[in-house]
Amino acid sequence: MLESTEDEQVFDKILKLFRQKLIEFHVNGKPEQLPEYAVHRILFLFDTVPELAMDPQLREPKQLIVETNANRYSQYTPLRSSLHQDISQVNCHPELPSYNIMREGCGLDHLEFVHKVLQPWEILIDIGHNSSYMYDFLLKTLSEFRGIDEKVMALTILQLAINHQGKDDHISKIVYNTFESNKDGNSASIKKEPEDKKTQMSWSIDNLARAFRELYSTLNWHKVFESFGEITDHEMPSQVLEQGLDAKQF
Amino acid sequence: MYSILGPDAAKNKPAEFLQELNKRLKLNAQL
Repeated sequence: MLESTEDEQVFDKILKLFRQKLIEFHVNGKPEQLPEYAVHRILFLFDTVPELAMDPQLREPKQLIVETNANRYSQYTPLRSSLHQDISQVNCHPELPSYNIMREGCGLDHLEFVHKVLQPWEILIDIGHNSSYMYDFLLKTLSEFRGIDEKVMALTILQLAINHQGKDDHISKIVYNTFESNKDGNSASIKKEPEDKKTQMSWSIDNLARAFRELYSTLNWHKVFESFGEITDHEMPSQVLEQGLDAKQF
Repeated sequence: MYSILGPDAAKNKPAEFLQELNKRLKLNAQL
């Protein structure tokens, strides 16, 4: 509410309450681990609300929150953790040049080079199953990986298969919104407040198949399926490989 | 060689995914 309310009186009241809570958190001396979502929101407010950022009494509470929850950065897959870290550290004040994490060359620079540090399935899993239902966005995301070879495609298909059903949560939404904002250069997405709930989802296979056809038709698909044979694991359900894709269709 | 699966992999219905993907790729190829 802090960043969205236009009523000054309401803003002051919320700010006062929030400030008091932060100070109590610090004074308490036994900092509890906060949910990742809460950490994200608090640090985002520090970066976007000047009254918080410039309040000397809040420096230590902020530092405590960062230190207490630092280990949480490593609990998630790379995009999540790197986003979280950058969002918490970049100065997002609108008056400053570094404000716009969506602007090219500022803030989350690595999102521009995401294909160099992450694999396609890592991105898709991070931004959640729901993203696969938005075809244009799926195409845009996968188009960053045009250079992948047959082995990476095989791994992508298998990773998506073994994560076919899963739960999208608010972190998926935050990452999706941030990623979408970065790609579109539009800050509207990042200001959306995601619901704090988990939703059982599965991939849009139709859209994935279309996207694979559109972007990777030059791949040697026979090699893709041959690469399945190089992937071994005792836990691999035998039916996955036995019922794998039919190379004759390509 | 790769090892990518954990013990809970089967519960997410990977075979169903592969079968459906196969079907859709085939349909797209015919278009």
